[in-house]
Amino acid sequence: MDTTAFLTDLADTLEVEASDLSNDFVLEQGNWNSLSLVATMALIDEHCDVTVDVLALRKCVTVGDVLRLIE
Amino acid sequence: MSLSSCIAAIATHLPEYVLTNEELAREYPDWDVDKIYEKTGIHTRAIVAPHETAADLGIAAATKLFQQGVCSPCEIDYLLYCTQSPDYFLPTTACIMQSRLGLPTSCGALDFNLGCSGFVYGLSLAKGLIETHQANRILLVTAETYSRYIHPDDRSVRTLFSDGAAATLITASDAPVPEIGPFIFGTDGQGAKHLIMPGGAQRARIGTAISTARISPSGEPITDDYLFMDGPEIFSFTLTAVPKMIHAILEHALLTLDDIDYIIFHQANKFILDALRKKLKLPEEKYCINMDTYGNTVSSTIPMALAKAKQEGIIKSGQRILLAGFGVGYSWAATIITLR
Repeated sequence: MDTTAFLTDLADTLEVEASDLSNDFVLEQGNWNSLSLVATMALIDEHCDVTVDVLALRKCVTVGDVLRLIE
Repeated sequence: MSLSSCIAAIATHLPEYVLTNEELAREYPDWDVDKIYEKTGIHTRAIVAPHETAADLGIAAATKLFQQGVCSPCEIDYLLYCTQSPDYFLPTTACIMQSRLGLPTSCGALDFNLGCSGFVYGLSLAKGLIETHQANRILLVTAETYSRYIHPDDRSVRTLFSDGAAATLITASDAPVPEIGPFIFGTDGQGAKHLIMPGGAQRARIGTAISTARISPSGEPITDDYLFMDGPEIFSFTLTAVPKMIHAILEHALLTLDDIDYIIFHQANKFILDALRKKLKLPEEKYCINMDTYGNTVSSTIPMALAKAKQEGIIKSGQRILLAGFGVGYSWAATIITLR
């Protein structure tokens, strides 16, 4: 996976600047709701060709948690 | 004699009242019009009037179909009615529709309860009835009024669904090759809880103690008296089940995507359709998105898209069209038709 490209798209989904997205960035500091959760699932599918478990993604608190989920 | 079956005509009907994004944005001040459209691909949705039911919408669609002159009510020998919004628990709504439409009393009639996969299932049932010599002219009516089930504050669902109906005439055909089929089906009841109208039937009757107020995983206020949809779970199901279904139907038909002229998926929402298109690497010109003025009409999205694409000349006679429905149940089904 191209992590930089993924994070650029994730920043767009969260409606924040890509430069803000460190591993410690708390998702709820951005636009993190049911719609952006679905959008993130779509991004993961597009970038990694995997469909993540919804419950596991819901449990993610930070960007690092999301990256660990798809590693 | 071996019989084939074909789709002879389609007519559609939407209720008069239109719920716009502007109206939704007024009700939910933290949403703006452009954002609602960007997320859903929907500008407006049609909402049933207080005095109307799904059967009324279905009757209106069927009346338009008869007005096309392809067939008269007295020639129909079977009515298939797909709805999750029946007039009554009993009697069967299709029986009432037989009388209201003036279909012969020799006509078979039944309701079947399916949502987004319902049109493809209806084609399968009709084909089976015709090709086993049980019927010759089948009226398949799909009609829904999900708006009645939705909590007014549940905006994530309210933005998506529209009420509406379609009437499709399926007749015996002397074509040398099948014009409907083959079919692929799928069911996974584990997903029932993710898109459900919990109250009102026998498991949790409206107004009983079991009907309690709670908050959905998406933060929306719901009770068992209203439709519940877990959008992320539905999205996950779609991305998992639908690509497999598409590969399976093509394999079953001994075809590849290059052999298919046009693909009509259940019009769930633009976001899901875009994700499916990317995942399946489908060319945009073969791919239908038809929901900006309809929203998601559940079992009628596919016949509505089919009728519109034909009317606009996007698809033509003799072309091979792949139809795929998926959603509530979970239930999914796909077929390939050759257009008349």
